[in-house]
Amino acid sequence: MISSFVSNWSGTLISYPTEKPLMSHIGEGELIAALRRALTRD
Amino acid sequence: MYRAFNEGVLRYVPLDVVERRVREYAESEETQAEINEPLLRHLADAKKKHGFPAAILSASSRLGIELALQKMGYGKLFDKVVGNDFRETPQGCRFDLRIRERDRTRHLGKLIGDFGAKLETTALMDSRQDLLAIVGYPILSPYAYADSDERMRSELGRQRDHRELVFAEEPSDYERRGPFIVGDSLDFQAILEELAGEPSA
Repeated sequence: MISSFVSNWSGTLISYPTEKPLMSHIGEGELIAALRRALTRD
Repeated sequence: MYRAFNEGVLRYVPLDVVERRVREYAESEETQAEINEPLLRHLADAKKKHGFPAAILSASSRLGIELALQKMGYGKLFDKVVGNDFRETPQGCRFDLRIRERDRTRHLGKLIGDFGAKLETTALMDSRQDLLAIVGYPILSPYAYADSDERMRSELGRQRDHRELVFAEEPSDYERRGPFIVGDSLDFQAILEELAGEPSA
């Protein structure tokens, strides 16, 4: 019988389809700038 | 990348602003659509019926996971979500990378120990073969193909031909038998029912 169940969230219950393609197409500096703009847009 | 994220993105941004953004992301239609609701539903049914504790171990944001689950109506499904937290510092918010991918074996062992459970009677759903190999009931993530390299895809593809459900009597059996394969959510339901009804390994 199962006594406990553990799931790896990122690979199992939800997928992150954008992360790797995004990283491969834009540079780190651009990504950081874009993230910061998105985070502080108000 | 995490250092760049902390220094370049989060620096001087207040914690409440970051948490608001995490909530927006977790509750967004796009994110909710990515969550595999049938897997959660089958886990909730099996957990209610058989009473085992369930947990999530993740190197991503604990808050994001909990908010996404709450929005989906499964806020109480997991007894514990182990992940990373944002925290306030004099220089603004930081993402505390306490759970790292490379330390997952140690964290997994600690998490199972916290429940008073044993590796031999733990079901783990994951796509990493080295982690699946240490539990009694390894379940291959339905998303394993998407984030695997060519070699692993080939290996998993070979195992996937073995459709019958087999039960590991001890962790070392993984080498010979491989993990339980989840083809769709009904497979997951069947696997959970079979495992929960099996005599203790």
